[in-house]
Amino acid sequence: MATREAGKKMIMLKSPDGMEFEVEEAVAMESQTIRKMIEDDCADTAILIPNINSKILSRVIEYCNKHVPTTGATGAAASDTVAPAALAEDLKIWDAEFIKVNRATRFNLIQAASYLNIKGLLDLTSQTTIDTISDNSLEEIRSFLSTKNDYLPEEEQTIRRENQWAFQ
Amino acid sequence: MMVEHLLDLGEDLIVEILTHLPTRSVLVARAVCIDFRRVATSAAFLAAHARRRPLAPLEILLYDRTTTGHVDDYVYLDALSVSVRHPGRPVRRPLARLPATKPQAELLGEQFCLPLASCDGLLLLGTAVAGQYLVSNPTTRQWAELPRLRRPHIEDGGRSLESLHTSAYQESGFYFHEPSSEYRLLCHVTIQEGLPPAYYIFSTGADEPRRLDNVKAGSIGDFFSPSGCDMITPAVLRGHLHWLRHPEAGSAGEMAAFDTADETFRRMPGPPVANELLARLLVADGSLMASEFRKLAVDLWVLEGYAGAASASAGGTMWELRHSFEVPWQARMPTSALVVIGGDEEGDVVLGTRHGVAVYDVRSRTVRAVDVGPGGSKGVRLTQRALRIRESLVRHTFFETQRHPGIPSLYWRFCSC
Repeated sequence: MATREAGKKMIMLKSPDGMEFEVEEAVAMESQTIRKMIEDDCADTAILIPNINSKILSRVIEYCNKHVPTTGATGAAASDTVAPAALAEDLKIWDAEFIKVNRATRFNLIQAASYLNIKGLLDLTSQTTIDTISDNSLEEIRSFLSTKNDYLPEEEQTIRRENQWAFQ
Repeated sequence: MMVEHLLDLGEDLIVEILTHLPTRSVLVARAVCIDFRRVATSAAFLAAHARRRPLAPLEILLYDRTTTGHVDDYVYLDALSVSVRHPGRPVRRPLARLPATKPQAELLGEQFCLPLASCDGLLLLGTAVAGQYLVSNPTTRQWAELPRLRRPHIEDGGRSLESLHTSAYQESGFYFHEPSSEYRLLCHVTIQEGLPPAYYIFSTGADEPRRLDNVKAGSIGDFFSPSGCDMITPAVLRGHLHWLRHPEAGSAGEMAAFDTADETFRRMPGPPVANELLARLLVADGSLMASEFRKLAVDLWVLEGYAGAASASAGGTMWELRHSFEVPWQARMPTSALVVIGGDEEGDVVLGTRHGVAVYDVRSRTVRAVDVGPGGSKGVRLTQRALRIRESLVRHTFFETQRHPGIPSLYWRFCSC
């Protein structure tokens, strides 16, 4: 395995604010969007990632680095001694830490995960929003999502009445 | 561009996120702001949300009555997940809470309804009025009434319909008619003693029930079981309803199938069970199956090579005995008292008797008992068929055009409990 380390193909990702990130091709290909570019040979030198600033892009790369299949990437020793279940558990803990970010960062990660088509990251980042809406009262949802209530009081009353049971 | 608010993510992404929400939370989300409401009521969203719902595990319906014993008690209608693939404590989901009705003797003249069948998240309910059927979506609490039979066909006798007893109508399947996108009830109707019965189709989209003129209906005769529950719970597969015992099942060794698209009956070879009365049809893992209770075990026959009723009547299908398993309560096996039966796409088969509920997984060939809570006269009762109730917010126009205020009382009728 170790001998292959040197032969790893690297890819350059560029954010719109001018930062460049050199990543292993396998890591970049966690993104189905980038995978397609590479497979279609549209990515010989560097890939510009529009709409995703360097701060968000670096977090996305951090996620992909952690989630790229371990065989080869971390070496034979790790995959031989760590059981798959333990690895999955380790990833879950890592994900929980990773997602402890502020609201704006989370929304930007959702957008990046969607554009780059990284299903695991999209599920992870969306879940917090889904949980927020599922587990809280209407007022709490508005405050957590920083959404302004633009209903007239009587309009809101009508909507509540339509499905009163859902608000109990 | 930096995203500051959820709404900045754009409609496609918001739709994607909101489709993961439980149905109840979708209704709450609509009240958050005007944009949320627009997204969460759009046809594209409702369809996407409904598409995700079928992933809900196999559930059985339970009635649970509060135990204080007064007439103003409540009856709870709950759905209980029983899938082997969702182990641990079974998840119990409330569907409705309704005041319990008075004892049957005091019911005359009272309004009550009785859940008969379910299709795509809609419940079909009968009432105390002969020939009156309601459709309800327990998720949205909407009710509609199916158009009633006003004038019987001349061949069915000229008798006044008001004087008919509910037993004149034998409900025989509630299904989705794909060509018209209507929900329909197939009903075996005997308007007058001595005159041949007929099939009528009650539909969400028609002004009046339609008589099936292409069928010479068999007499209900021996097929009218004391529990009255066999015909309304057909096994549904490949656009067909299937019954082991039915007026259209023909001679011994045959069973009946109804094509829900062209609305015709067919006969096909039945499973070679020893006693039809102890056997039930079900659908699991994409196959039509028949269960039969024997002394110490349950047998599962599978119809191999089945591609719709036409293929079966043309030959090429074969009933094979594929599974035999012991149930956890076999020592007290009451062979005739099967109460609930059903299966799902992943291969779970659920069987319930008055002694318990068990789930058998046809893929791993394992059996597991399900704790449904205390039974008894005031406790939990089972309904007749396991369902995959889909929570659905899909809008049906018949809830507007044939709106019904709903009936607050639920009458519980159970099979041999």
